[in-house]
Amino acid sequence: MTVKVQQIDPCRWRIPRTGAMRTEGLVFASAKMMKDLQREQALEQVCNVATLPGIVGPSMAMPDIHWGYGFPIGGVAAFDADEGVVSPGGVGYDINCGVRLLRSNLEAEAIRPQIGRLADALFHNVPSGVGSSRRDFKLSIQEEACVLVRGAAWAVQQGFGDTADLERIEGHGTIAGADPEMVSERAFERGRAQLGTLGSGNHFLEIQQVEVIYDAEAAAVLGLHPGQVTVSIHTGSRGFGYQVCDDYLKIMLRAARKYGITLPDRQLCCAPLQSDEARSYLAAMACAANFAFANRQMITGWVRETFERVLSKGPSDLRLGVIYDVCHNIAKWEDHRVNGRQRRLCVHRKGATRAFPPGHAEIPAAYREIGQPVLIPGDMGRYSYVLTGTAGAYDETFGSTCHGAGRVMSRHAAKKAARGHDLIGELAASGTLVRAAGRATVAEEMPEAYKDVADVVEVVQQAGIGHAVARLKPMAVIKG
Amino acid sequence: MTPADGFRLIEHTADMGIEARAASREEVVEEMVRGLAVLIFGRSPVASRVTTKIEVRAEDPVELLVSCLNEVVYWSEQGHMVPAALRIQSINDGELLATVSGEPFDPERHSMEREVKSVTYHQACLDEIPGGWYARVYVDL
Repeated sequence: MTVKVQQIDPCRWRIPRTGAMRTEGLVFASAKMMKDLQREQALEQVCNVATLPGIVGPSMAMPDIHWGYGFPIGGVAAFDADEGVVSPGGVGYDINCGVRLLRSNLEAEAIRPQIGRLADALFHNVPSGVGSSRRDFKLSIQEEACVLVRGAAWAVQQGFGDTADLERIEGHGTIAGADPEMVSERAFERGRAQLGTLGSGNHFLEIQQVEVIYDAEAAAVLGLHPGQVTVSIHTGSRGFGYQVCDDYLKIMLRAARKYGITLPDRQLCCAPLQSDEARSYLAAMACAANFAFANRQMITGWVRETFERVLSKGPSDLRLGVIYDVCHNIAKWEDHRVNGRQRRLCVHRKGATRAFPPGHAEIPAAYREIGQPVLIPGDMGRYSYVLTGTAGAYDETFGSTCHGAGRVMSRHAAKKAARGHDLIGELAASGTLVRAAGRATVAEEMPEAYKDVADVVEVVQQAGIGHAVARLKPMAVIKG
Repeated sequence: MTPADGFRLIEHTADMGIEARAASREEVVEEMVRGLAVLIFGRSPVASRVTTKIEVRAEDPVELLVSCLNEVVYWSEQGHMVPAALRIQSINDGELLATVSGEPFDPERHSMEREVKSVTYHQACLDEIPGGWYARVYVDL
C-alpha cells in the first residue's frame, strides 16, 4: 500500500489524516529516503501509531525510519497523561537499548600497534554472542532486584566505575518508579544469566578515533579532539527486557480489549496511562531500563580493566571517562510546551534518541551550554556521530532525534551480497579490525546493509533537530 | 523453502519472518518451530536427545502461536538447547500441549546464526485456508 505523503520542505513530509488517524504523520527524510520508504511498511506504521488514543502532536518518524513491529523503528509519539496510552510495542523488546561513549587520553596513532591485542582482549573480557556470560560473575535474585531499582548506581557500588560516571548518563543511569514486584520470574531468570553481556545482532563494542570535528567549542566541552581514541558501547537490557516486553504485550492485548481500544496492529496493544496495567508496565519497563544502564556500566568497567592491562597504564593515564549514555528504546514522563500550554506527556521513543536543548535542567551541568550529547552509531565500516540536542528538536519533536543509520538491506540480501567477499579482511584493509562470535553476524551486519549514517545526520541537521559535533571512525569492532 | 520444508523464512528490512503451510493445524505449528530452529541455528543436524513439555494457554489462535514459539525460544536460550522438533499432543483455539525435543548446543556440530529477541504479534496469523492451514510470524532479531 502506498501512503500519501505531502512534501513540506526538503527534509519534512506530512502524512495527512485519513481513516482512524487521530493526528497527522510527520516524517523527517530526504527525497531519496522517502522513495525507498514507499517500498516497505514503515509509513503505514506511522499512520497506525496516529490512531492511538490521546496522541499529542503528530505521529513522527526520524530519518533512520524503517519497518518495525507496531511502531516503526525511528518512531516518536507523545501521549497525554490523562487521555493517552502506553504501548510496550512503542518501546520495543530491547528496553533501553542505548549507546555509551567513553573518551580517553590516548591518541589513535599511539595505540595502533596494539589495536589487535586490545580487540582480542576486549573480545575475551566482554561476553558477546548468544548465550555468553562471565564465569566469574554470578548474581543472586536479591542482587538482581537491586540492579532493577538502582541501575548504573548499583554497578558503580559493585566497583564497576565511579560516581562521576553517573552524572553523565541519561537520568543518571536510574529511571525512577522501578518495581521488581511487577516483573515475572521468567524475566528475572533470563536477566540473571545475561547481565554484563553485549549480546549479538547490531550490538557492538567499538574502539574509535575522532576523525572530524564540526563544532570545536562543543567538542572541547565534551573533551574531544581529532585523533583521540574513544570507545562506544551499544547494547541494552538483553533477555530481561525481551521478557518484560513479551509479558506485558499479553497483558496489554487484554487491556486494549477491556478499555475498548481498536488496534490496527496487535503489536500496538496498549492501556490508558491512568490504568493499573499501564502503571505496572511502566514500573517493569523502568526495571528493564535500569538493567540496561547497569549492563553498560559493567561493560565500561571491563573495558577500562582491559585497556589498563593491555597498555600497562593506570586509570589516571587512560582517563576513560563517560562522555554520555543515551537510551533509544524507552517511554518517559516529560513536560513539554504544546500550543503554548505546559503538558505532562509520556513520550515513546522507539529507535529515537532524546535530544534536549542547551539550558535544559536534565542535562549534566558541564554540558548545559551546548545541549545534551546525542550518540548516533553508524555501521561498522564507516563512522558514528556525536551530536547535541537543539531548541528545534525540543519545539518540534518533543526533544527527539535519530538513533542510528537504519537498515536498508534485509539479512538475506546482506548475506547474499557478502558471498564471495572476505568481509573481515576487507574491513581490516580499510582500517577496521573485527572480532565477532559468529561469521553470520558479520555478513548480516555488513556496512552496505545500512543507510549511510551521514545521510541521516544531514537530514537531522537540515531539519534543526540535531547539531553535529564530531565524527568517529571505527578502529576495532567487537560483535556478538 | 526446500521441497522437504513446509516453512519458509521471509524477508523483512531489519529482521526476519517465518511462514508455513501444512495440511493440519498441528502440522503447521510444528513446521513453524522447524522454521524457528533454522532461523536461529541454521541447518546443522540436530538429534532429539532431550525432550520437554510445553503447555500454552491464550485468548486466541494467534496469541497461542506466538506464545508457543516464544516458549521454544525460552527453552532454547535458557537450556542452551538446539530444537529438533515440536510434537503437538493437542491444540484448540486457546490451548496447546506439546513436546519439544532437541539437544544441547555443541559448537563443534551446531552453528548459532542469530539471537532471537522475541517472536512478535506483527502480522502474525494462524488461519485455515483451502486445503490446509497457513501461519506467519515476524521475529525481532
